[in-house]
Amino acid sequence: MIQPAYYLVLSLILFFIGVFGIFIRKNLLVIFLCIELMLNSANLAFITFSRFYQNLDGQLAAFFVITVAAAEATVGLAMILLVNRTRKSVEIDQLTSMKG
Amino acid sequence: MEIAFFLLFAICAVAAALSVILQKNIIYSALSLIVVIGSMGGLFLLLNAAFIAVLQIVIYAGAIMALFLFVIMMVDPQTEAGDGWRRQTKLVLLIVLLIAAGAVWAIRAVGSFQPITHGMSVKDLARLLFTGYLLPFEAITILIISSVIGALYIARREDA
Repeated sequence: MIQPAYYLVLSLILFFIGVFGIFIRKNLLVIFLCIELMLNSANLAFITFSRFYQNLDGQLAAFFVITVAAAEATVGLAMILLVNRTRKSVEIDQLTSMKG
Repeated sequence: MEIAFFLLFAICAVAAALSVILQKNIIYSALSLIVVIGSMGGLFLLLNAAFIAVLQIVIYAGAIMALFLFVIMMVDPQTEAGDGWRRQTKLVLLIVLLIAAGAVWAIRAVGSFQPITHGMSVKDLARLLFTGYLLPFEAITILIISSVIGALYIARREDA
């Protein structure tokens, strides 16, 4: 039988893969992809607990997380486009000054 | 049978997640994230969340990742100059593994799934969304429209 703990462990594994990815990659876009990976793992935890407590609030929380992720991806990618246009690079090692 | 599907989706998700962070080519990373999102959709189906599973595929994999891929192709990064990895990879890996081990140990005490007694269908979800959660629903509307307007303004071309 599948316990909720299996889903939660999987959610944690994916979350920490995302955290590790943020620390080791230099490209802004890959960092953003790892953020989305972490959001997905949080969604899995929400749905798991929704099924465990048989309460639909968890599914609604996941619904709102997906929608907020869409809005955040829109704005974040627009900013990445702007950074690329002005700095000609999306490597975080080269984005070292706050000017402009 | 359920275990077979769970293992399939879980292994697929973990392998694709590792591929997201380890690939040199960024388009491959984005496509691997699409595989992760699909596997999560399958896991949601296993957890009796069919509506959220379909929403995940349509919105997350269909819209958000398509947007990502467009922006990746517009930014068009060359192969990362030199080594794509930051320093201190081993130290970060150690710290992350320690925290992950602690967290995995902490969640072993959760119980087990009971057969479904309360209503968990799409009808109940819709009723809950439009009665109890009506305010967040309307707020999400404002959030989306403001983020679209903001993104258009941020990324506009300044010529003339």
